Amino acid sequence: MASEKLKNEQLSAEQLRAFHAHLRDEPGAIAAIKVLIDLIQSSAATTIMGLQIELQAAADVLKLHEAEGISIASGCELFMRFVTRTALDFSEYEACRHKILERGEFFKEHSTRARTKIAELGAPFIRDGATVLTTGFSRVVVALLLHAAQALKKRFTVLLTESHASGLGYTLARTLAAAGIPVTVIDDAAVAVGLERADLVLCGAEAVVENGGVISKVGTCQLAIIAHAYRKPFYIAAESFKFARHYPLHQRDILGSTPRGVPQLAPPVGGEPDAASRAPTPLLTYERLTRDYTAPKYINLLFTDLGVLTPSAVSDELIKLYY
Amino acid sequence: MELSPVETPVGSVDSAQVDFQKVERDLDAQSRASGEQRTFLKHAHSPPSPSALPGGACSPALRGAGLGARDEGSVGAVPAPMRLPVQARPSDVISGAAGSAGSAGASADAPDAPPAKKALTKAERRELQERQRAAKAATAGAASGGKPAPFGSKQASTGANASASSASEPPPVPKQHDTTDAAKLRKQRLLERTDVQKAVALFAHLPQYEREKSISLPAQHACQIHPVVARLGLQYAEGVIQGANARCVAMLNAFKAVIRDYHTPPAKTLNRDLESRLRPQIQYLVDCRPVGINMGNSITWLKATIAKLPAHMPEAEAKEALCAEIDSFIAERITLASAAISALGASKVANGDVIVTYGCAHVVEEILLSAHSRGVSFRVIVLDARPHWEGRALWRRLVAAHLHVSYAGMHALSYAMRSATKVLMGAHACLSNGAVVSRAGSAIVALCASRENVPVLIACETYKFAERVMLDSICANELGDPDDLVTVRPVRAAAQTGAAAATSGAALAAGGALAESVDGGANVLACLTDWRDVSTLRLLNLTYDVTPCELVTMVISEVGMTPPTSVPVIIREYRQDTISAR
Repeated sequence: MASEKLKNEQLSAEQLRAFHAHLRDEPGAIAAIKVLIDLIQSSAATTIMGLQIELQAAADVLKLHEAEGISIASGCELFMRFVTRTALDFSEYEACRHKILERGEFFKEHSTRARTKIAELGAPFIRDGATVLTTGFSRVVVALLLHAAQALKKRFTVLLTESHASGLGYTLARTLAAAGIPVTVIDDAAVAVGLERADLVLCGAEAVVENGGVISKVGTCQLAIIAHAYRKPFYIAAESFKFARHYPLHQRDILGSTPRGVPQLAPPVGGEPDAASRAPTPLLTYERLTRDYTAPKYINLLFTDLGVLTPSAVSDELIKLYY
Repeated sequence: MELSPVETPVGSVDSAQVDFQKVERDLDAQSRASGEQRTFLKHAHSPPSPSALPGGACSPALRGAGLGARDEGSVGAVPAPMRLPVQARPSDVISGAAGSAGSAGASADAPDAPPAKKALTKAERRELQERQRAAKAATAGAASGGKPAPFGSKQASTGANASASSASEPPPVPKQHDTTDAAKLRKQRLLERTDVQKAVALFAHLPQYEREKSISLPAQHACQIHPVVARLGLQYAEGVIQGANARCVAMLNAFKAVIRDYHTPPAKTLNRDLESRLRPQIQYLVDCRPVGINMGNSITWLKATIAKLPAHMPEAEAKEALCAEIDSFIAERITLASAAISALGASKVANGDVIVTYGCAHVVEEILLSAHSRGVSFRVIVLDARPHWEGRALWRRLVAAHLHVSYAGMHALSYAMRSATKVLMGAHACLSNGAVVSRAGSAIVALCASRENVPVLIACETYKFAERVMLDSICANELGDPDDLVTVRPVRAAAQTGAAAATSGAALAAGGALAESVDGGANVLACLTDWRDVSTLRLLNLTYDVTPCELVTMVISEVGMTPPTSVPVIIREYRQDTISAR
């Protein structure tokens, strides 16, 4: 309720509605930046400091978004950083505000441009006749696969995990099949089996953290560890605005931002069991973990719009970005 | 008979002794007491001859002897150990014989040889070598009588002219494994320090000196050394000032005093002359104890700052500006940096954490205290090891702040790691290849942590980041006093129950008992006091070790939390900043 109250104070209902609309077709970071730009346009602040306070308050509200908190936070931080830097360059408020808005437009386009760039950089890693294993549903991965198939005319097959509970694997499968790429959907639990015939693993990420590790949809970490054990290359495709100044050491470090699942399971294939048998008891609880942290040692390369990076190079880029 | 001074003490005529006794008296009373104790032990266990030690007058006499010995030449009253020829040492004979058997050109790399030696023909070299071998054999025969080599015998190192003039005398035995680096170091030395007698061959390239009662400065250098610096050097040598930050701050403050008392000579400019004035001060400090990487960084910074001063600046103003710069360096890079690190590091301490730490790093202590003051509930396991038992000081302070502390020896490492969720350690330096130089023992803690999949966090200020690369802890390291390994502090009954794995309450009680025995100094056990007499035994007291990059999860510096691979990036960005800002 406290957050609700905060929301009402800092962001109008329609701004929030716009934010959720942006979220539907944009990654969290870009959606957040769009909201912040709208805020600047409608802001009544007359000083940079006032503007910054307003933006910060709005950013704090946006970060409360459950599913994409980390990605939104990194987008907001990046934007705030940019505002501070611009403020240092311009002494006049109006000139500064103008510059920020101009740059904001650039940010808006950034998302699609980054995706194209990544697709171009990453697609050559898919060789003819290869089998690519992927999990979840990532816009960047889709763009990359489509680029490889359509622009580079690569012939390859895709192994997909079904991504249980969200069922996004099926959506992705349909998208790829429609584009003429042969797809096989496998069980989430069958990744170790499926990986044996895969040549490489390619996943998206919600956030790329400071040490080059990634926070992404649950199941990515186990896939990375199995790929590491099988000596299969594990690649991540992510835009640079997903780089976050966040340094998890354990899985539990990202739990704070992981929503606890509602104690309900998707109906098993065999049919609907009676509700009573599923009800939680003091000794029986359900937890739905939606994301995990993959350590950099399991990642071979990251395809980003800054180039193809090793995990250790991510920190270098972050230092340059935030220094 | 073997006590007769074969080697002429170099510089005995022109080197007046600077009396540092007064300075020494100012030193911390406790450290002086322990120093005396140690020196007394050394002398007592190996008397060179009954006449050399004036009976009864132990420490004052020794103190006098150490100071005045070289002055008085070969007057009978001088205790001989100061000038015993190096050939008489059984240890050297043994290692020398082993070495020369293997290498035909052993004498060619003798650093102590006069430069003219290069011109020798092969035949001459051969002859010289034969002669040295014969000399060695002769002295070995003499030494086998069982006369122990007395402590403090002077090296042949200064004997450049001595060996040149010693056609008839046996030439000094070339020190085994004495590389050119070591020779160069020796040449730069201002102080006449006594090289350690029984160096470990693998580490012979590192400077290591006997712990001396007093350190004498030859007259030609004496006037150059500022009294504050002179005092500081002795404090370094005695170990009164320890810890990387404390040593660095003390050094910078001493340099401030030097700068304040500096007057530009006529026809010279401050920004060019001051550095040459500082150089002997730095060299003197290096002679007392090798400087750490962070101190080297600070010295580089200071030199650059001096050079950047405008040439036309009035002297008083320039001096003030420099002192202000030093003050802000201390504040920004050391004091505020560790405050920032403690805030950052504390954010990484979560409820329910079990944090393993080793040694006693100031930043680590601050991180833990700051996390505790934020209301995080966690447990700390302080690991500790000989010879300094630095962890005791740490847990005492942590317990005083009501933290939940366990204290364990290094042998309990793998047990402690089982329950650990994080390892948090300080560092002496972070290197370009991501390796971390830290208190000896840190590497095995990190190794064990990595085996147990426990993240290793290193807290380190950026002024300790170095551009160099180290692959092992052999090439560059510091050798501590081997005698520190000899003395064993007794584990009393109370401590026995407490020290192994004590929780706060019990540990406090045990600590009290320990403190008593340590401070009292009466119950110090010395189990290996005669190690110098055991020809096959050498003691190695390494100060640092290198933790490779792969074992370090995160480096916490004042610029943020970064993986160790980003150390060079931070160095680069920082340098750009200092260039553009000034």
